[in-house]
Amino acid sequence: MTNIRYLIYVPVLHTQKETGEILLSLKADEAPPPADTSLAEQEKSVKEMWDGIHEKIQNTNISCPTIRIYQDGMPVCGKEKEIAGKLAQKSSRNHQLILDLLKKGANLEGTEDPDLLIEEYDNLSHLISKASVSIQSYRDSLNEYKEKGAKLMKQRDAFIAERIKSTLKEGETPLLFMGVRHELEKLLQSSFVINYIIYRLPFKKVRDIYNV
Amino acid sequence: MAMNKTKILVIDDEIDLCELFKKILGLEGYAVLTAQNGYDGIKINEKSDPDIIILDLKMPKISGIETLRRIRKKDSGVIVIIITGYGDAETIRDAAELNVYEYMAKPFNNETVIKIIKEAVASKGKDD
Repeated sequence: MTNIRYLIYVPVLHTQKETGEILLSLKADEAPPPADTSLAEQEKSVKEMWDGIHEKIQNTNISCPTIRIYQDGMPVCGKEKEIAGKLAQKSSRNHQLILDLLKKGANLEGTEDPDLLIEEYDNLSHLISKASVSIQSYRDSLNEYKEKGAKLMKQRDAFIAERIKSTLKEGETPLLFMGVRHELEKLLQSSFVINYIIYRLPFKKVRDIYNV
Repeated sequence: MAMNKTKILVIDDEIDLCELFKKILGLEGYAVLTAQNGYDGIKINEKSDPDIIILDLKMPKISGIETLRRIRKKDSGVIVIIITGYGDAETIRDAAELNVYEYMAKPFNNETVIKIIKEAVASKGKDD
């Protein structure tokens, strides 16, 4: 008899600030990307999104010791808890929730290939640098970013899917916090029954290149 | 209370939910139109030009995403809020591509929906 394996998938939106800080955890010597004028509004909406997700996760009565967390942007580096702790201190609700689950016995797994994350960071930095040059320069770079980004996302997803399959232990349930651009369900639905946890995704408030 | 009669079209096959929206949004001063499937929703959208559409995803005849694709071909500007009991990663990406304002899961809190609609109405004023 085959055991049915379940996976909990939480699609999320990132704020510009979070995106910058997640990627900066790989390049600690660099300054954060420039802030957007609507940053406060973005953060408020994303905070509400995380409050709702937090509540929903609490209501699912999942047994934390059997949960293995896989996090968008979390490199395989041996310092995963440290990174989550630092980002939680910087008010990332995403990482505060992870710490809360870790305290209850959940496990956090390094999720992404660091080299691919650095490539993503470099592409994003290049795009941001073009924003201050001219609109045309930004548009050209945006098209280039989208093209490179789609290819890179496929590579990142392939790595993450393989990572989940190779690190998940018998009896554990993977809990994924993934940005909405990921297409991991395509790679995992043959191995897992996917249950989604969705509260709200405020697209208009967080209409950022990293999410759409 | 809303100052003007902002028109909201609810496209959802659950009649009880359409009635609930009529009640709660009507109390806030909005004019609420309803459709129980995507085809009727597309027709009402063309005829009545609503300010906001609240759209379910899983409906008979045509899905919410296909309904939205057809609406967007003629009306790129209308604010669309998806409220679904069957959310998944693929429809979230489709919704993002189709420029939705918000993607929400059922069951929902009435106050949260009203708050989002008020914010959407305010943003429409800014965009205009």
